[in-house]
Amino acid sequence: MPAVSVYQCSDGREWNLHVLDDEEREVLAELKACAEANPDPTTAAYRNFYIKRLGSFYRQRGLTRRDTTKTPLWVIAQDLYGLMLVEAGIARDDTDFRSELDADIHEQFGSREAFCQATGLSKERLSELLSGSISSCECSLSGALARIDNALRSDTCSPVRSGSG
Amino acid sequence: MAGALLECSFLIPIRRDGILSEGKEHSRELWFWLDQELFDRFEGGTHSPGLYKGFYRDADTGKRVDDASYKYTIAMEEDDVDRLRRFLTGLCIVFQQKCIYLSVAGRVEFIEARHAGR
Repeated sequence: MPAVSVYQCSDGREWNLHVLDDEEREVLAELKACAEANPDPTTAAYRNFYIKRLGSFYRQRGLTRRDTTKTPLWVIAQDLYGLMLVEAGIARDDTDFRSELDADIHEQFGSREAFCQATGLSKERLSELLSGSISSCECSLSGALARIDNALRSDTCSPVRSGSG
Repeated sequence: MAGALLECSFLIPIRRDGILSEGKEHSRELWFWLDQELFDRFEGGTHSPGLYKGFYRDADTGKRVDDASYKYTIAMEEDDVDRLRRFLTGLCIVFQQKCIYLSVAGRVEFIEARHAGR
């Protein structure tokens, strides 16, 4: 059972919210509020909000867009979006696409490198996609939001600077 | 001052192509990946509300196919549109589509998964 200040993503990864500073915790609260208000992913309201809000927030801190997508807030924001997609029946939470996609790339382009060169896609991201470890889960959006709520209310949290700013 | 920007929008069906694949919904991981790529390469892109439902005649089977898609819109300079076309070529493979609908300032193209590496 994770501590209240830990957010466990649907893929099992845990993010210690102690590492978030005060401003990041405020942004996390905004993400949670937006997700609660807009649980239907077809409205696109939450998806457009998290990208714009985190993009702006971390740009002001001097992070590159790539580094922004590696922050705990980005991962948590996407996790919430993923739960919305799965609950709405728009996406699945399995990963059986990987071997088929890798085979298609090799069949049609010869290699991942040639595929990325032809399409301009990132080799690093493609590798992450094809080697990811997301597993099937029974998580719910409401459960995830409650965990965030608990973490943000936790008196035991002693925010420290994450070093990202 | 930068030149006028073109509004480019494209549709990504929420299911794999039923001929190329089994027609199931995509993994949520692919939507994460797409958002990261759009953010990283094009600094975002707006996801339009709603599902765009349509139909077409499949060129291989001659049968009607109904689908529902997400719509994304990106504003970009004309010189950059080829970069988007290449990107969409990759999305055809990743999202298991024969082609992807692209509208560049109202002019429609169908981007196919080319065998660009061969």
